[in-house]
Amino acid sequence: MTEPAIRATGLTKHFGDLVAVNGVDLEVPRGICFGLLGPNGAGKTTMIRMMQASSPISGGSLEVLGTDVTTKGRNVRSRIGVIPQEDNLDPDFSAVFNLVVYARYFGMTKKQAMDKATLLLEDVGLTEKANEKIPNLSGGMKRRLIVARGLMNDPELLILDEPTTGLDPQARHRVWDQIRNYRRSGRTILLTTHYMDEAELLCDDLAIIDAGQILVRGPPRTLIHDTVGNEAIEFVASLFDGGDQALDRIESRAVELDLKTSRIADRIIAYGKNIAKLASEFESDKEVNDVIKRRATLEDVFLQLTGRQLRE
Amino acid sequence: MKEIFGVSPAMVAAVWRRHADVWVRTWKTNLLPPIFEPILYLLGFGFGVGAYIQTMGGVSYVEFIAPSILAISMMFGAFFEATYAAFVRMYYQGTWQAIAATPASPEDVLVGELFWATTRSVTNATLMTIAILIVGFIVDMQLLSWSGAIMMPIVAIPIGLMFAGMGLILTSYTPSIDWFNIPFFLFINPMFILAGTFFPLDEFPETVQYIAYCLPLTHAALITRALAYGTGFEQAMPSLLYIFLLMPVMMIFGVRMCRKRIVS
Repeated sequence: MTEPAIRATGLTKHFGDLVAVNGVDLEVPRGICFGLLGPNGAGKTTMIRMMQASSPISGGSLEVLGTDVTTKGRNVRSRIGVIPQEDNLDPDFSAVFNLVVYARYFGMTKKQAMDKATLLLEDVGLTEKANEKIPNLSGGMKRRLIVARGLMNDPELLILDEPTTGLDPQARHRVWDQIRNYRRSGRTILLTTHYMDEAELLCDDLAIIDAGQILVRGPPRTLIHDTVGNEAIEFVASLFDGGDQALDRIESRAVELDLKTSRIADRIIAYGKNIAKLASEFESDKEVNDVIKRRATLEDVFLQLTGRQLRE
Repeated sequence: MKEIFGVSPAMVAAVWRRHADVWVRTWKTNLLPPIFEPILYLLGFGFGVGAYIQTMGGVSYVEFIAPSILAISMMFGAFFEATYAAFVRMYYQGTWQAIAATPASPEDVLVGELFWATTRSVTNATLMTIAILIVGFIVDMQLLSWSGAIMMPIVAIPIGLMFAGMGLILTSYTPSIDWFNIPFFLFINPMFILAGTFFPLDEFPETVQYIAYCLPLTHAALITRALAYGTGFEQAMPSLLYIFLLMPVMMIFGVRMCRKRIVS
């Protein structure tokens, strides 16, 4: 049990000429919730598909739970739980039967499967929907059922790919609860997400990746502190008339003041020691519609590191 | 976990059971075609068209087409399951990917597909055999020999596996579900008519006969015909050999080529 949950050395994945994951070194200890963040196409899903031993690695080495994924894929898959991005429940089966059928692949008996399924449906609040067919469940219910399915084999490591994408706020909180409950039992979680609040809330440690490489790694608060500091100020202007030029002026002044900035759409976000000075200079600029002082978040780190250009 | 050439029998069985469970849940609709189709064919072609035909290949027309529709149903059973139905599972439902995230491997999933598709050939053959015997009983004709009736579900296994393998090869390539219309129109439907199913091959010009003897359904029909008549097994031997040679090739290529649709 002393081996890390994940140990990747020079992990690489090619799709033809495209390098999706480029020589990643990563070690994730057991018992924490680890986040993989990055823009679309950064290589998050490719990376976790290799970690769940469902996509062969092109180079380097990868051990999950101390086990080589290439030679012992079955063993790895029997000990992890996988919660995919898409809904791939069996639409012809009821909620509970989805879990029972899934349990067969882990060699569980009917009785074991039924007991476990009953328990998990209770945990995710779907007991009353146990005999409902999948098309009759809401998006949030399906997601919770997929999480329950991923827990059927009592995994040592749970891998979630964008677990709350497309869910309403209530449903997101329920899924977070499930993740936190699982985390409390001392097991390891690996998740990918686009939502920075989600990562800040759930992850003990995380890595931001782009173009198949790790840009930074660390606990959320440390990353925020080290990359952008604790404070941020947003300058909002209209995108037409003089607004754009006002943003240009703020940007060049920020450079003079040795501040970091991120520019997205109608705003500039500035970080650093002298942001108060920058704010006082432009607060009364008639082209600037709003100046917002706030605490720096993980989103600021993300924007700083992965640039402002539109993806895909 | 016990493996044969990297395939786990326990996992294949679990995949097969999943498909069987779906089938059982919709059994009413699944039983209709293999029972009513042969009755329709026997009535319409056998007795309807057959009324104008003295004999066909030495027997009455209804006796001639009984083994043909059995061979056709074996082909359709496996081929449909390994193309349209498999594509729905793979593309629309994500079933293959869901299973491949468990200890089951992509190869287990695909071998499970082959066995399940073959099961459809066997169930089709069984239900049709019963339906044909019942029709024969009603009109007081023996449309199938007793030994043939027993053997039909058994020969459906290699015939089904061969067509299932072909189906998976097409599924490995198809960009969309509509694309399956192309092999169905260019390959399956012509075979349906031209494989010595509705008239004997010796009516054809010699060159066309050679082509017909290359078609897998021709050989499936020659086998079911020998079984149905209870005679002429010697002539069916080359056909059996043809099926047993093509079957493993199609299965191996089907699994190998479809693998890339699960893992990349």
